[in-house]
Amino acid sequence: MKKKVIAFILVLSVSLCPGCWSRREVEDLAIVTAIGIDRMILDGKEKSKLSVLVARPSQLGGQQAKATAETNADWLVSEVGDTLYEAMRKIYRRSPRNLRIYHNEMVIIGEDSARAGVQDILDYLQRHKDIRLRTWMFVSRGDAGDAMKVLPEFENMLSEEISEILVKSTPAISDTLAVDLRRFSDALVTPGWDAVLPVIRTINPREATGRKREEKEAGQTIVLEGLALFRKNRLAGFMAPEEVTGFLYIIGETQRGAITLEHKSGNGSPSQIAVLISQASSEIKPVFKEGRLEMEIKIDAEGDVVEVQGDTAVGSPDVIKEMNREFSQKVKSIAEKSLETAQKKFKSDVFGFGKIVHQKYPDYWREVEQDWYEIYPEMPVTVKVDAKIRRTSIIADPFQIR
Amino acid sequence: MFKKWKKIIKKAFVKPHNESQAIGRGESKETVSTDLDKNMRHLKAVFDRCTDIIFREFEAAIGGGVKIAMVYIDGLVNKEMLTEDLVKTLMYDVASLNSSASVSDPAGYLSRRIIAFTEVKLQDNLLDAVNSVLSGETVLFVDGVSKAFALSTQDWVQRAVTEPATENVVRGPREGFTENLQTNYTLIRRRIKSSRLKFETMKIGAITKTAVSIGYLEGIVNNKIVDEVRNRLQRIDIDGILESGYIEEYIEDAPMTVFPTVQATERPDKVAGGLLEGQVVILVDTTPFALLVPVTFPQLLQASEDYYLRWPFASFIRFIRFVTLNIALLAPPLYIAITTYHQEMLPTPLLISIAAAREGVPFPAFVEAMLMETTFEVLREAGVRLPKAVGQAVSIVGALVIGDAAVSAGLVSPAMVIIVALTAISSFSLPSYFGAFSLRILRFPLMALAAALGLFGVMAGLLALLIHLCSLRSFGVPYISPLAPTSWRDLKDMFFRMPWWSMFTRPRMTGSKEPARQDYMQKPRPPRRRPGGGSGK
Repeated sequence: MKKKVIAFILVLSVSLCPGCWSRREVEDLAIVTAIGIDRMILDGKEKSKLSVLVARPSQLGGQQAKATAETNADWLVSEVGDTLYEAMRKIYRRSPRNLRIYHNEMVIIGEDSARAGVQDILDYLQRHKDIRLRTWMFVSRGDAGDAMKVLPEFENMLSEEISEILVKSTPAISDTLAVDLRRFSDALVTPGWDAVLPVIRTINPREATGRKREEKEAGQTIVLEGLALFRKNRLAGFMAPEEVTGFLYIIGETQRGAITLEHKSGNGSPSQIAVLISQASSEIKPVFKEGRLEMEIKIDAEGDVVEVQGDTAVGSPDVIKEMNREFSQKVKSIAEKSLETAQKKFKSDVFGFGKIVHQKYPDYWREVEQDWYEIYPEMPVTVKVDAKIRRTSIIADPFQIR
Repeated sequence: MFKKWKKIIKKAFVKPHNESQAIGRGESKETVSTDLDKNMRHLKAVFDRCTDIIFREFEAAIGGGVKIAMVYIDGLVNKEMLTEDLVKTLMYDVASLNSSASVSDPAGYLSRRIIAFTEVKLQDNLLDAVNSVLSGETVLFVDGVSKAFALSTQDWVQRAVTEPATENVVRGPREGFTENLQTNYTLIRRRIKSSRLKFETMKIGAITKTAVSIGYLEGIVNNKIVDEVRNRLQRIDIDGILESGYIEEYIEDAPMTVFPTVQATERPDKVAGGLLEGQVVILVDTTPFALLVPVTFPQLLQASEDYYLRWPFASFIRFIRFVTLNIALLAPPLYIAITTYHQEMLPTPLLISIAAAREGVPFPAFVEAMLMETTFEVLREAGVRLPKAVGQAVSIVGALVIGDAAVSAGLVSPAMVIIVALTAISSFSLPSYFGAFSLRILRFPLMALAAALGLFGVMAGLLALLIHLCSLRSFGVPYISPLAPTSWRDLKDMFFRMPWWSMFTRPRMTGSKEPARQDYMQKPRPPRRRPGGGSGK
């Protein structure tokens, strides 16, 4: 009996002594949805600028919220500090609620900051227990803090808008690549593999839409445009969306995307034919030719004709045969263009050629690892493409009016 | 620690029983005398100031007008039958009998030839006679005969067999037990027409003398369980039994737990099913609730309808029930734990929605949940207790207060209302009302644990609960069998309800004496050739 009573008291004390330790009600939280990181020179000293977008629950969800929406659904706040952590602490001074970054959806790295190197940023992101490896990573043209001033067009919050574009829309066009913190860090720590990040650009396509956040530049909108190529931990340059398509062919991550072929049949004027890629895969093979390392890339692609501008009779087998050739040619040229940009222009091994060599010829890799960045730009790469048109959608020959 | 108290309480309140107290109220052990007047004097003394007792004396048409007295309770006997078959027979019809022959055994002669009743008991003892009168029999005294005749004339106003109030079914018999023990016997006997179905009756309650009956199927039931039930019932020493709940508390294995280790049911088909699986039923007079022992926790989650519906559907319903069991127990604690400690577990849009809903709510989630759950329990209790005409008003007030006014006043968040409503609906979907009780109670300590320790607390609470469940026994049967100890063949009737033809064994724990329920593999197979001409090519 005595034992039972003592056990009961002990159990009770276990639940009562901590006294709701670290209890935090949801309405006391400032839920950070996006983090922007920039580099600044203040008084000749290098500083970090941290911008965060905080969700305002009262402006989101619920019917009363919409009626009284006078302010933005997210709160943009920036602070500058010697370290990112210090900047975060300064934000605390201005926030009535506790900042919580475990729901952070994305980290946007400013262009300057990325050019200066992302090592310190990665240290912060990897060290912090609340940052998820699934966080989307971006590089912004210009300052990340400025990009975060833009108002979303559809969604309530900018972070939601950007991540929806990234996740829902880019697979349909395959001209940028969704990269999360895990993949980004992976690429950075793997020798012979350079990282890429999607690029956020602010554009001004039309007049002010009359929404809030008047103090910011009105009428701006966000666009995901191409990729930022890294060399080691520094931003090396940007790759245009058209070239990104080629890059994705090479690494075999094309999901869907359109290509325009120019087909000239007979003596008529050339027709523009849009082809939707339905499937693409690739194989990268390092080979030694006359003692010299070469890369052989084989791309298999399939596509459907989705639009014909002109008179090409895409229904005829002969034309399809011709088009297959042109299709392969086109894919090849796009892929080579992206190779040109990454390999020759920016000398950034975003394809992971080094990694493949490492896996296939580990002994050779050990020899060349130190001067890979000298070997890589000079390395000959051959691209072979086998692309086929599979379907012509609902109608075969072009729509004709008689 | 409490030993001292025990002694003091025993001294102050518990008086040792003695014979006279047990008999009480002027009843005695006297034998029936040949002198009618003496008997009547005695009975009149015993039934002093009992206005509902009728004494009727008359002279029979035999033996030169032998004096006869009958005693019965007004309202407990069938008066018409009494007049027609007894009084008329004795006063007129028996005159034609040749009564001159000397009779060596007048009592036997009377019961064999004269008293035209199906059930006649001969009694020597006046105490027995008194008890017979009290239980609705008519007791006859004949002058010069030292025996009393107890005639079964019981007939009183009783409720008809109606649909049970607690366990409703869509498909299945609609009969429920009534307050009358005899009716309840017939309801079971009609389902099990076997001489192996035994009922043993005993009277419990020094004053109420309530008939309590143990029923079982001989050969299927484990005799040790029957002995145990009998022993436990015989140990009961109480002044009165008004409902089987009294019995339940005296015979259950774990008196301090929230889980019922005895199953109360109103359904005769459920009892019949239990008997066929080796359970023992305890029927108590004056209540429609029969007790089934031993019972396991999984059985509390099974409705009798599970066995009447086709098996895929029954299995689906069982799955739903396991889901609702978890919701009924865990929805509020999990809500509290996650919203106050583990916000990172929620998807972002959901977290923002909850945060928006909680914007401006003055209470922490725990207080809010306690408030709402308590309000709901109060409403439920009020709904049960109030007269039917007022019940409507309660539900309107409840719906307005909980659902609308509290939210628009900003006292509670809409999210909490959803959680409480979900919990309520889920707890109603459990088939055993009495099993659901335990979940209703356990929700509150789990909520407190969730508020103090978060998910860790909920998990600790659940583990404690699991250990507790594992430690329980119901008449020797582990409470969560067939899960632990695992009996693979009984799992056919646990999470799923397998087709009837595949459940060819009785539950191992109760029906191991005659394990085969049916022939092996009676799965219906279509005939090779279609009946009615096989030339349908």
